[in-house]
Amino acid sequence: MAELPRAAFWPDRTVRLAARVLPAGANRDRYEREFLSELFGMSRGQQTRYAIGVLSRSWTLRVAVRHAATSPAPGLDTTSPAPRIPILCRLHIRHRWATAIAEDGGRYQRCLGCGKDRTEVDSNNFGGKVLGAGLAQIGGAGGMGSGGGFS
Amino acid sequence: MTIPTQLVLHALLADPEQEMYGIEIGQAAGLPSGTVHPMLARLEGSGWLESRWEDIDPRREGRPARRYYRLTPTGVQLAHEALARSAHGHRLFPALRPAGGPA
Repeated sequence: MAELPRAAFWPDRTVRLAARVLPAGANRDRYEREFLSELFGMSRGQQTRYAIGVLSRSWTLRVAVRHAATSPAPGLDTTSPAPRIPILCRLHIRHRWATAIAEDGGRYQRCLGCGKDRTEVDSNNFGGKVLGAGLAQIGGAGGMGSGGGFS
Repeated sequence: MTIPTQLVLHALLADPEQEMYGIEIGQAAGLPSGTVHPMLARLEGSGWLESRWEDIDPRREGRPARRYYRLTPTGVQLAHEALARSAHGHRLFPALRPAGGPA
């Protein structure tokens, strides 16, 4: 069978660098091998885009790998009953926005009171505490900066 | 559940019995190249996905073995449930969602 195009030098080095972000050990070895294997068969431009994509997500992957064993599966509800929705949230008078980290590393804002996701995130105006992926913490009111808690 | 994760699950649920490697999953989900691995890692760590190395002879094939992913039986069920909840509670495309609070 004809050999597929090999990985170009810089994409090869880039994905190896991305793998170095991961904790040393089996995971780093596995992902380095996985990234390199996926470079084969792509054009140079595709390899470059792939390598940049991998490198841009390397820290997120590190977080995901380290938390994979302890974080709840995405989308799963806890067994505890849903808490009462505060009246201010119900009436859309005031939400307590806090920054949350999604399972893919993306940031978004969620109301600590009712769980409503804010549709736009002002990267310069995170309010309240930063929440860990899948975990909610009781934080301060979302009145910090101009990203205040109004719905 | 974020939109990219939903897209990945949709791609995997298109044929739950089929194994796909990272690039294939990203292309099927319509996500930028090389960006799906964190989501795959979390899903795998939570037991929704299982993965394995391709069983080939690299010298004969002329390329290294790839890492293939597939939903576990539990993952198929949980993925359907999660996507159903997301569809019920939220619109799939953020551009169609009503504007939130003041900036």
